[in-house]
Amino acid sequence: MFDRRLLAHFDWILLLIVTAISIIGFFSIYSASLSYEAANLYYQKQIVWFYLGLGIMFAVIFFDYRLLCRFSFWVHLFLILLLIFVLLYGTGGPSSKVNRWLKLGPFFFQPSEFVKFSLILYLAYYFNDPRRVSDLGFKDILWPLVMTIIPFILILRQPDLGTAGVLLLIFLPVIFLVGLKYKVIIISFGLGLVSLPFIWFFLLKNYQKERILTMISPERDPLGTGYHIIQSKIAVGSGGLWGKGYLEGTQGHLNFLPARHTDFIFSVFTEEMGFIGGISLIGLYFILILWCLRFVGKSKDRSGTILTVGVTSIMAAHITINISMVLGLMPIVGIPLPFMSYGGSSMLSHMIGIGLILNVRMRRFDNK
Amino acid sequence: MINLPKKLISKNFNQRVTWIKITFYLILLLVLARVFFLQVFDRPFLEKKSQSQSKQSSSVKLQRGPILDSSGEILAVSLPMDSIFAIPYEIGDPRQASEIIAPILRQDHQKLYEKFTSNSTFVWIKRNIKPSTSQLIKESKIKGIHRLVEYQRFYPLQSLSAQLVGFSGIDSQGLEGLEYQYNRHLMGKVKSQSIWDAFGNENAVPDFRGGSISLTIWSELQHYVEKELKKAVDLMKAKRGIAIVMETRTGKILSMANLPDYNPNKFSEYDRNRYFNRAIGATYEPGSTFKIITLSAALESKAISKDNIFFCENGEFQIYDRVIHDTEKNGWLTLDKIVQKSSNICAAKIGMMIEKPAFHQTIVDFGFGSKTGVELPGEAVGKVYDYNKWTDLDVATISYGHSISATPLQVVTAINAIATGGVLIEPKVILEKRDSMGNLLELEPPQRKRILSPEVTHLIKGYMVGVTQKGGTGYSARLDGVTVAGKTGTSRKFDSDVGEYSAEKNISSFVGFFPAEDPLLTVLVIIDEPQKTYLGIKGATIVFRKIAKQALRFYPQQGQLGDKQKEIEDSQNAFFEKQENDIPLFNYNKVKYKQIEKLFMHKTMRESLRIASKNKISLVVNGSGRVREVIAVAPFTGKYRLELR
Repeated sequence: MFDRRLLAHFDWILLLIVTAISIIGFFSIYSASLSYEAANLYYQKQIVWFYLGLGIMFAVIFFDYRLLCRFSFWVHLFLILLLIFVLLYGTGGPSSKVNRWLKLGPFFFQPSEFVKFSLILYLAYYFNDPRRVSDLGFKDILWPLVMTIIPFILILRQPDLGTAGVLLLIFLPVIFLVGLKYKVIIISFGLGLVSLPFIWFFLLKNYQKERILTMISPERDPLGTGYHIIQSKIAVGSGGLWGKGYLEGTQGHLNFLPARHTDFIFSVFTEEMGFIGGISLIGLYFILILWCLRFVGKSKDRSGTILTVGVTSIMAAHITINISMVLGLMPIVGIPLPFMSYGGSSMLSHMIGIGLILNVRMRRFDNK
Repeated sequence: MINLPKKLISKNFNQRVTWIKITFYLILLLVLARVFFLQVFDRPFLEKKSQSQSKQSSSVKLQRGPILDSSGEILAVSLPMDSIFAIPYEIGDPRQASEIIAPILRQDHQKLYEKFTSNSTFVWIKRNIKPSTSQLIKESKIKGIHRLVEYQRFYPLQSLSAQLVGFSGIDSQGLEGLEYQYNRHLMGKVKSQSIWDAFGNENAVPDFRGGSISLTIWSELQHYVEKELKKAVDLMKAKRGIAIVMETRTGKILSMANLPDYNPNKFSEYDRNRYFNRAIGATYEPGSTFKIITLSAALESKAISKDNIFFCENGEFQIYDRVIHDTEKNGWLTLDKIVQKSSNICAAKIGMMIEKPAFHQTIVDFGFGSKTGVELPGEAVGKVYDYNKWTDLDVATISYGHSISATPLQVVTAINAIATGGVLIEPKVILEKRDSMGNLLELEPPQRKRILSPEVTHLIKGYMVGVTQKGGTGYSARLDGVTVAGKTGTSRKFDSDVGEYSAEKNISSFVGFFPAEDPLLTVLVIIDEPQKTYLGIKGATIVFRKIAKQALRFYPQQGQLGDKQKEIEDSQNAFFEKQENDIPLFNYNKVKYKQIEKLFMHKTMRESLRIASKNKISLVVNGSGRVREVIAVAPFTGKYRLELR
């Protein structure tokens, strides 16, 4: 099943970029968690997650993506069922405000992290059909839309606006690439604009509205919901051009920045490394995204291209959403920065993504 | 698998990829612009914010040292207050956590549960709780529940001597009064590399405490002074009131009252004007009380002799273009009568007889025109013009306390120099300064300077005693059995709107000391803009009398004074018989002190307290072990501090 020749086309550079970002992540996590009770625990755990991620990545490479696509519908369906299960029996029970996790013995499992991949695989599988090429109308995308909207709503109910949004950011580029008519796009865009007030008044929860409002003016509630944004902006801004130096950031170490080893790792990094460090890191992410898109369109089949685009979209969405929210350009949603933020789920899920891209890339000359 | 068309994604695939890339580039550009904006343009502002936050957190962690009065009563103290907060995602079992925490904090566990499961990363559970409660929470060792230790400043005696003590702000920085002046001492030393965090990890925060200060203020008396002053200010519908009580021999300020006052615990609720310690920071024209200085200058420079008599022009006297008046028509008066009747005309005549340089020198010697040296911030100096610029009219008006300005503290310090027999003593409000370990720090000894001969002060004292005798302007300041030497003063306020002295607005003051033979206390009372009378008098005299009476009642030798009353049939005569050459020795309770020392020495704390309660001696106990030292805390309180080691 696994051909040794495939290794010849293994994209080592992509792995190198990912490793580089992860190493920067270890150092930043060490700095960010310095004042926590068990300071060493965090970056050590992250290193463990990184190796586990590598393992899963190679596991993903091992199976031909075309095979994965063929099972994708059932996997997607299964994960949707799990999402329903999460809503009913997630940690904290139905009375709790947030339930994103399923407890499996000692582990916490977050199905929404994996739905993203089953959706990509399913979309790749669906649009692999040569009949579904170009000049797609609304009817042609109805079924994929349903398969996106169901988990979208389920995740929104958890509630997890960020992850739900990522699903849309997978769906939209994919249907755009496979050839949705520009006319349909323009009409949907118009409809979207019209429905904005409806979303505001009927769909969004109060705390979500509050987040959007405080993003626009964080001073509305400097100690409550605006706190994150203000503190994060202070951290980034006080870094200046050259930064305060590694382990010298005061915002991070003084505990003013909440969740700084996870969602706000970018603020810790830029406070200490300054504008120069900030653009270098953004540059590294930029290279990562471009590298992922390097062979787009040159894969063996349509599903490979769609997979690549989908996974790249996930990463690009995470990167831009996370950095934008840290800089106060977007409301605070729980989106971690790929390979930098502390956390097993995030590391593993992005490693799966990288695995899928490598998978497609390796097999672009495969004639099987 | 279908192989051929599968590579074709869509007709205009490349165009569409470009669109997606462009969108991504645009977002990236926006992000970069934002980073650039925050770190380059917004940096100065955000950096300042970052610094102020970390600074604030560092000072919150320090326990500011206490401020005590002379008897050990706490005037300002910092107490640790714990605040409890939760980081919900760190809590493993919110249900269990809420059930453990709820009874400790007496909160509803369902509400706590909701907080623990909320979506935010930080929730306050309860702020400013008692350390004992916080300890219980610490012992429960629930993950995700944190405490933040903040020191809060309390002023247990509320508004008592508020302007003197001042206050410190929420970030534990002294903002006014002694809190401001002694900020560094009270804060102790902060190591520059010690920065504290907002979560207040106990391991990271060593116990930093600042030093303490004890004041000469005697809060029991201060309380009474404030009460009487307030009564008078209210009844006379006056704008303000100021009173200063000074220990004659030492220059220690036993009380300093300013009305209207404020409560430093809630300082932000009051008008800022009330923070101002006018007793040292505001100047006024001392008016007739200044005649004492004029007479001293005249006698000391031998411009006049004690036997001279002056014609008071029957109440109206023209100097160049100006006519000055007396309140009553007087003819020829001796010096003692001039003081007793407070004649402006005769004071002016005497003043004009003094050589200008000599007059000026005496005024400066009395401390006018310069800071008194008290350890308080914001002392004003008042206006004393150079004598080269004095016109004859200026000299005349200065002679009865106009065209010159002084702070209340300057006036009481100057008059105290008469009480001491001619020695000017620097006023002090700091009794003791201790570092955070309780070690005494050395204080600068008060400056003493002889400015008048004992003979002249003796004469002046005699004139001042006359003021409180029958026929004197300060007759209502008299006390039974105790001779009071004093001087009234009424100065019309200069109305800067009109540009001349106001007919309605005036400042009434009385300054004096007692007992005249062997003065213990020098007291100044100022009533600013009184509108009505209090016990028939529109002025400060009656307040002075009440304060003096009460101060003597607190005084431990009160019984002896009562005995003295019989001995001294005519106190005035007795006073004139007594010769004073210099400041009397501080020995009035030495005998008593020796007895008390004997009583407590080498006793244990328990024994000492039993003895104390039996003998009705009030004690402050410091340390543990056996008594090694007995210290009389303040001369008049009858309180003693036992040092145990």
